[in-house]
Amino acid sequence: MMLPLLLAATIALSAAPHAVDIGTTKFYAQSDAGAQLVGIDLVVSAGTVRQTASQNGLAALAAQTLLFTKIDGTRLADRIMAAGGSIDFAVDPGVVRFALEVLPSALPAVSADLARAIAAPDTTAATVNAAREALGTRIDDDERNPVTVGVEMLRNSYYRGTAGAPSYGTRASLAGLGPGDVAGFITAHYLRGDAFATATGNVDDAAAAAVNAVLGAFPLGSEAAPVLAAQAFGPQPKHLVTQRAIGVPFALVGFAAPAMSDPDFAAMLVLRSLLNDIAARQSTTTLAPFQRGIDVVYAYDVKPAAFTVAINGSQLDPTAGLTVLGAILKTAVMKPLAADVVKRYKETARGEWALEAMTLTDRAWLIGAAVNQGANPDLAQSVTAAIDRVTPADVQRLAKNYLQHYTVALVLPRKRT
Amino acid sequence: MHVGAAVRAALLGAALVLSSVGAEGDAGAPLAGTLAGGGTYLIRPGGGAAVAAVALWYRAPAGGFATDAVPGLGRLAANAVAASKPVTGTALSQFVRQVGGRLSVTAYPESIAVSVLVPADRAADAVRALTRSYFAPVLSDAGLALARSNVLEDGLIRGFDNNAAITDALYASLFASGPAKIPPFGSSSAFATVTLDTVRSYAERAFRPANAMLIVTGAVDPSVLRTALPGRDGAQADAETAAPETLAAPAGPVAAPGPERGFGLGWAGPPIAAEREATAFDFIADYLFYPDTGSVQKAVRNSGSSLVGTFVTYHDPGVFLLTSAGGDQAAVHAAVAAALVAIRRPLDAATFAAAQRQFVYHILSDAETPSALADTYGWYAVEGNPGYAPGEGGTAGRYLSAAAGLTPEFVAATAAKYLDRPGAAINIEPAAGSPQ
Repeated sequence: MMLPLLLAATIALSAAPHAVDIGTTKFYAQSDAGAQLVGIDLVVSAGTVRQTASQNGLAALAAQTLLFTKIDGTRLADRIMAAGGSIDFAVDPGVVRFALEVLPSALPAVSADLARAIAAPDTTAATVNAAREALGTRIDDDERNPVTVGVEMLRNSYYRGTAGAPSYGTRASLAGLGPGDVAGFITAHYLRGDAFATATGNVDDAAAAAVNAVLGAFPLGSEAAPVLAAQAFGPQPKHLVTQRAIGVPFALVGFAAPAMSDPDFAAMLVLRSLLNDIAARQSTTTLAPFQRGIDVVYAYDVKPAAFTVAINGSQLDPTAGLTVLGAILKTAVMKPLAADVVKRYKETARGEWALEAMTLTDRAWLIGAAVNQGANPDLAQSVTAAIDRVTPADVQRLAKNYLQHYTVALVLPRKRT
Repeated sequence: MHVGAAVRAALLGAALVLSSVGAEGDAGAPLAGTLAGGGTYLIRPGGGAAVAAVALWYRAPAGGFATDAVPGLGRLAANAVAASKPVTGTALSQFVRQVGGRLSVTAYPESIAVSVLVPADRAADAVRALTRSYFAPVLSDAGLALARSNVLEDGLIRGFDNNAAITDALYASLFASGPAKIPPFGSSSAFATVTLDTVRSYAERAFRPANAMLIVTGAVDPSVLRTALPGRDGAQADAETAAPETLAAPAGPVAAPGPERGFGLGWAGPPIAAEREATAFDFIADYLFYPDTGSVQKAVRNSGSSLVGTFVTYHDPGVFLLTSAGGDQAAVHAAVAAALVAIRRPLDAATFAAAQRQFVYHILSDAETPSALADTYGWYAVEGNPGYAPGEGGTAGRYLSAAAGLTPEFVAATAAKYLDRPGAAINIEPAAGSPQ
């Protein structure tokens, strides 16, 4: 007798993401019963697309400078850590996202600190230099990862203008950017009218007040929305080649793809599941991405979205992998996949989507991705039903629309001299 | 709608549910109890992503029950069961792959965990698949061959982690006998002689229902237990007891070759039953060695070294381990030595308060997903103190209460109590021909 009640009620352990009215600023929240932390994503319209061609890395340098801004003599990031939390950022083509996770009891103090840093960022040479050095470490880490290298190559080829610039720039490009550039970028693009926040976990009135304080610290104003556009693919695939200090070659194939808010998104998730599985060897346990022959990187949180198939040379000969991939895509374009195949990968896609974002900040990011594309904040929760509706004809249409044109990036081991 | 109203409504609804199911002994819906085939279960519903973590934890020596241990046998057996087709249905690994979930097998010196993460609406299926596979294990030659290949590959990947090798050497040096002395991974030569019968015997004893702890967390309710299978007839009806661990006699540093210079330090620490002391050691490990934020980690950030410091809350004794490899080892050694002296003295109040907040935050953040929470519950249950699991009881629970109750003086005294005792030390020097 108790169980049906329990089953129904456990669904309410997390409220659906919804817009929260906190005045003029924009806030979207999903509260979880029993959560002991709050995760907040602060989204600012200051991604790489806001850079000029000579400002490669400036979006990241500005974000890192903000985290290094000293409040009463201590860096913001360190103060948040000491209060019982953490903060980090990610740079996308359109936006920069600050991911904050914190003890609820610390949120008032942390939000006050964050607001002070936003209102008066420290763009002195010392702080910008430290930020540049920290970014250099991130760049070095990315350079050691062949998938990241390949994805950045493809993104640069895919998007028009600076939207395709590397997330953190390069060490060389950062060296040419100074305090004036950082100050100018923040002044121009860190504006209240274009910022919003999302939150998950222990979200209550205090959290809403904290978010209001942070968003209220941005200067009034807004800009025209940035234009993100993809370059047209040529009739023949473009091939990009680079070398890195890696052990095996990687081949990455970049396609255009539907974004999260696109009606074809669910069908693309089914195709992602199929491609991830098709070259996967048998294993007793779930393989990590670096152990898979094919690993799909789907950047659906940006519109236009990008879909990258990475072929790992330690698991699968890249030439053979490209051949297999070509054969699959040709088949998918020519005729609908068998119904039982689509049914199988719909089930896999449903599961993978459920597991897509599990930490507080990842879930906050997913809400923000929907909002950023003009969709409802609860868009992610409707994806499972959309997957259920995918048909073999949908997959074929998707293959025709998106998968016939592509760019290939080869990341090869650097030859010993 | 104002956030307060919306959130309060959601939380009120959830709170009503939690109070309903929170009372153990409710007819049909207790959150902890005994499985039909013996063994115990623990269910902890929670908000968040619509996923469920289902895990089986077993107390079982990873090197086997026999006196002549086979390193990695437990890991091999758990993997082989996952890959073998049971009497009915599909192999567990195939089921999880099909539903887009994740399956992992983890082996510790004296415990083995098989964990599954699935969408919430497949939680009951996951409970059925796990109990079907492990409570009446069926092993096939194909399943064992795949398991052998996968486990050896895992060992190969781990071989690139120099800190892991130092950790193994520390355990071997710190203990004279007991499960902790046995290396966690086997070699291809050792596995080559392991027969299907050997693995089956191990699996039938280790994975019997009475020895199981079933942990379910996430967007679930107790009805998922209805799908748990009781197990096979004739299985032993009791659980394994903890095997004694015997510390080695104090000895000097052990020198060993390795691909790059490094060192390891290890001490026996408080047992899991000494909750306040064990929490103090978790605090020490967090304050000094938590990645990126630990005070020693920050001090050696530019050394080019990897440094790992942890306290492992075993049944008895716990173990405090430090390993470092590569880079400027002199700088790391100096920073570690200074920190281990300083931690024996009370931190100033402001530093301690900040470290304490950071520690609590790390504890909560590290266990915020259903799978991490299931791991936490499983670990503390199998080590014999489930009520002390971080997260159990929230901030009023025993672990977080102990964390909140720490003082600078108690932390310093606990550090001195255990770190003043002899420990184990490993010094790694590059082998001839290593690229260093």
